[in-house]
Formats: sequence, structure tokens, C-alpha cells
Amino acid sequence: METIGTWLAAFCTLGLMSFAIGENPWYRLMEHIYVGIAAAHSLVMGWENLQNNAIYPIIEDGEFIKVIPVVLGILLYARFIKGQMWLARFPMAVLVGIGVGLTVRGTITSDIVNQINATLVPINSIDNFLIFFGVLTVLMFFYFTRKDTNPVFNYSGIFGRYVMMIAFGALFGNAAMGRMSLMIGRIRFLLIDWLGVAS
Amino acid sequence: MMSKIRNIDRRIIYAILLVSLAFPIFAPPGLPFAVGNPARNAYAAIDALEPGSLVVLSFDYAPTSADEINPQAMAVMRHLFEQKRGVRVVTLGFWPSGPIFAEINFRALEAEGVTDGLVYGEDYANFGYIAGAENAMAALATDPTDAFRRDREGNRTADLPIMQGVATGSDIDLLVHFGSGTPGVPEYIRQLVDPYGVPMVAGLAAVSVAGSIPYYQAGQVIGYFNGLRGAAEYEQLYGVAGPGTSAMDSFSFGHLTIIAFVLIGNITYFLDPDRKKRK
Amino acid sequence: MNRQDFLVILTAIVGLIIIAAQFFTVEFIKTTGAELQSWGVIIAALALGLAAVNLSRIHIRRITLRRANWQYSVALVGILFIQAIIGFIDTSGGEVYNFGFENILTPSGAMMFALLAFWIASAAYRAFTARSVDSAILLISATVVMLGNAPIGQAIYEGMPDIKDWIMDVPNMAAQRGIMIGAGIGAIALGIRILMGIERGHLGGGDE
Repeated sequence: METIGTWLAAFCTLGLMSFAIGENPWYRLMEHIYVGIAAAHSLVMGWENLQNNAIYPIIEDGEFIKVIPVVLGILLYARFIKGQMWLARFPMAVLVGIGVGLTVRGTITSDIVNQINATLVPINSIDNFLIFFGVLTVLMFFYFTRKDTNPVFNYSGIFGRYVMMIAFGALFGNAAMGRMSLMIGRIRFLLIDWLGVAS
Repeated sequence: MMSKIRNIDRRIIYAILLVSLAFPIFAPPGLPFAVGNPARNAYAAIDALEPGSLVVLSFDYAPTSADEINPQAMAVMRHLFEQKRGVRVVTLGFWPSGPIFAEINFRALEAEGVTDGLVYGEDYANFGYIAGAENAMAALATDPTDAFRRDREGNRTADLPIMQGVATGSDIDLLVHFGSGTPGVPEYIRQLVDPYGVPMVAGLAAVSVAGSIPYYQAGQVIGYFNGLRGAAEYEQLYGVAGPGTSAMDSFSFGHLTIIAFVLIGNITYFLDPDRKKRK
Repeated sequence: MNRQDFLVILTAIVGLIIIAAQFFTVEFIKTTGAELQSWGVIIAALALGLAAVNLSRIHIRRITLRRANWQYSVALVGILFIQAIIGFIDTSGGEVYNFGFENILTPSGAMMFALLAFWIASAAYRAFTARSVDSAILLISATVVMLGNAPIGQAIYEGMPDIKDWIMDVPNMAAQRGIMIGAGIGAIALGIRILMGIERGHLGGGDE
């Protein structure tokens, strides 16, 4: 069974890798299979989650109030019924309300106050200077309603842009590493696990 | 001539990259590498866990990042199950595939005998997946056994010995998050780390690291692993080589190849006589 | 009060209860907030089926109308139904389900994203030229980070990882933090606009 599984995985891997040569039927087939199985996985995990968080509490624990979110969730599928798409806005309103509530209460502390606190470092070294003025000038770069004739804003915006270019370069460097890792993983699978030509 | 070099068939570029990544598998030079402070801090936080502590391993990645993050998770699970007996380990996830990777890793360690003697429900439990992203994280923080009513085996989580004395997120002694996107580090910090004071270590996909460093510098994240390199660093600290370490040589060759491409691309661009005409 | 006003008020009430549950220790508010969170989990669980339903609709239609390349749609719908039925019967922890997960979904997903390595190599060769000061800075930073991440960088120059760490911990961190603070302020502004009913994009437009 393991051998069949390995060959199947190799078939899938090579099929998708063949896109590097050009669009071809093998790649198209694998692309469709991947989309189909990924959707099935979401469906199955959603169903198991629904069982644990709604069906069992309703049936076994008598928490009948959980029928309301089940009905709301089913209303999401009204978007597929012509003329009834408006019903899907009720669960959306609840989800957006929850999301907004969580974001507002969490962002203030974690993404703003704590981050500003960490930026207010004593400017007693080049690193601390760069951190403080780097954050400040990046924020000033995005202040689009400033006057173009103000030299303080203009020069700070340029400095902020250069700091961001360094950050984007770092982002690219890490992204290259990440994608390389995935390709290394696939190559190692093909050479070691499938063909067995290396160890 | 220059434009001919610049317009080389892209399939040749792909083939060169493939060869550069595959070659070290046959002839690994075994280049050494240093362990960075973020990985050291993360390792120290896990190593400092005392028997009776509750550590939550959050598997928040998809198959698209598994080759990068799974080696980190494997190294951490090996460390916990081999050296940290007595520490309660709960695995869960906010991405649909996450808890299945936890099971796959557990089975692999079981086959090696690493998990011998562990009792499910007392030493280890897999709570599975919960939908809802940041909202689900908030639910975990408010009441873990209410958010995850049942585990992957179908047991009621509130009845499991591993969850005795756990009422809110503040009863978690360490959170180890393995993730590659949203929901991930920012959501955990907003809902669990800052409000409930839970220490957090992050195992990240390389592409997520740059955006998470502000949290590390602010002390909201104790330490982190940077992709497959992070897995290799953890393996080096723990002393057991694994998939991370064995990928490092391919890394070196692959990165050199990319840098060579950048250099050649720039040289041919600036030396191209047609470039000045186009200007 | 029309339908949209009702939805705006519903959004605001739910959002305000969630916020209040964090800041007030009134038992009723905390309990209601926790219950709303569990509702969110249940609705999100049901939402996971939307992708499968939508894909099935579109591709079954393609098959019945014999649109171009309809045969691929057969494969998509086929694997979707087979894996879903296996999952419902065998559960996601079952051996048969895991066979598909480990030998089809995982390698396919990994290869999909691994293809990006090819595109990065191609872009590095053809597109990443230092045409301006900005792009030159970006390229130098990317090169140093790549060399710092790979062991070969340390073999070339012992201090390469330290330079990479400096780039990540100082200028990169400063820029990311600036972007994070700006995005955080934007998120709060958007949240308040939604709670006040000024922003109604999530509620759609017009009667359908």
C-alpha cells in the first residue's frame, strides 16, 4: 500500500512539475484533482467541527440555543438560490460583527500600544536611532495628505522609502528561501523516497 | 549577444535550478551553520518546561507549507516526548490540515518508539481543528474545553485528565505555534498572548518571518524558527539531525544559483548596447 | 426600519458585546460574548462547505453542457465526492482518508507552491535589475539575506549571518512595524465605521 501511495504521490508531484515545461493535459488533470480534493478536505473538516460544536451539544447536552447559529450557517447557502441571496447577509452580519469586535479590542493593545512602546527605545546607539527614526519615517511616508512643499516630510518620506526597500529585499530573500525549501522537499521525495537513488 | 543571453529559454533556468538543488543530495559538502538567537531563545523556552506544565502545539499550516514547517514540528515533538516526560502536550489547529499533520508526526515518532509509555488523555491529546480563525482563538482563550468540546478520538475534552485545572487560556504555560499565514502570529498575540499573558514561540514559514519580527523585538514572541533553516537549527541544538539539517546543503547551492542569476541578469542588462538605444 | 438597517444594527450589537466582554466583568456580558464566539465557530464550520458546493455547481454544469475540457471537471467532481464520502464514513482520522491526504493532497499542495521556486529563479534572471536606487537597495538587501540564510554565506564570510540578522532586526523590523502600526490604525478606523453603520460593503447592495 505504501508503494502505491509513493507512486501516486510521485505521479501528482511530476504532473504539477510538468507545468515548468509548458501547459499540458497532465498538469491540467492534476490541477483539477488538487482543487477537488482540497475542497473535499474543507468539507469534511467543517462537518466534523459542526458535529463537535453544534450537533452533539444540541442532541446530547440539550443546548438548543445552538440551533440559531446552525440556521444562520445554512442561510449562507442561500447565495446559490436565485432571488434569495439576501438571506446570506444575516450570517455575514453576525460574522462581521464578531470579527470587528475582536479586531478592535485586540489591535489597540497588541499592534499599536505595545509596538509603540517597543519603538520608544533610548537613542544611545545607531541601531536604536535607526529603529526609532525608521518606524517614524515609514509612518510619515504613508501620510498622504501632507504638503509636497514641506521639506521635513519629503526627506523623511524618502528615508522611509529606503528603509522599506531594505525590508522588501529581506522579504524577498526569505520568500526565496521558503520556496526553495518546498522544492528541496519535493526533489528529496522524488530521489530518495520514490526512486531510492540517494539516501 | 547580451540580449541573447538575457532571453535564454526559461526551461534552461529551471533545469539549472533543479540540478543545483539535487546535486548536494548525492554529494553533500556538509557545510556548518551557526544557530541564531531567535532559535536559541525558542529552544530554551521549550527546554525550560517543567513536569506538569501544559504546552499547546498549534498546527496552523496547509500541505502547501508542510515541507517547510513539518520538520520544525517534528523536532519539537521529539524534544518534548523524549526529554520532557511529564509535560502535558496538547495539539490542535486553526487550519483544517494542521491536526492531521500532528497525527502523522505522532505516528512517525511512535514507529521509532519515541512515544512508548505515553498515555493518551494524560500526557498527550489531539484536540483537532476548529473553524473560525481569530474568533476560534478567542474562544480557546476564553475557555479551551468549551471551544474544543471533543478531541480527535471523540472524547469530551473537559473529562480528560490532561485538562484538569485548565479553565482559561492563562493556564497554558507555553504556546508553540507552527504557521504560515492567517490566522497566525498576529491573531494569537491579539487574542491569547497579550490578554492572557501566555508565552509564545513561533515556528514560521520563511515568508512569514519578516512580518513577525516586530512582535519578537517587542517581546510578544519569545523566539522563532525561520522555515527549514529554523528546523535545522533546532535539530543542531537538540543534537539529532533530521530533514532540516539534510536540506542545508541544497539550500546553499540553490541560493548561490539564484544570486548568480541576479548577477548575470544585471550584467547582461547593463552591458546590453540596445538598452541605451531604447532609452 | 428596512432590512439593511436591521443588519447594520445586528452587526453593531454583536460587535459591541464582543468588545464589552473584554473590558467589563459583568457576568451576563461575558456569557453572551462567549456564546456569540461559539456561534461564530458554528457559522464558520458551515461556511467551509461553500467552496465544495460552488465548485460542484460550476463543474457539474460544465459536464452536462459539455463545455471545453469538461473531462477535467469529471476528475474534479469525482475526487471531490469520493474523498468527501470517505471522510464522512471513515472520518478524517481514518486510514483510507489519510491515504488520499498524504499521497494526493499533500504532495500536490507542496508542488503547487514549490513551482514558485522556478518563477523566482526566472524573475531573478530576467526582471531583478538595479534600474534605480530603490531597486538596487532591494537587491543588495535580498542578496545579503539569502547569503545569511544559507550555510554557504557563512563559509564565504564568517560574519554574513550577523549582517543578515542586523538587516532583519533593525531596518526590516522598523519598516514592518511602521506598516503594522499604520495598518492597525486603519483596521480600527474601518471597524468603527462598520460599527457605526457608515461602511456597509459586507451587507451587499440592492435587493436580490
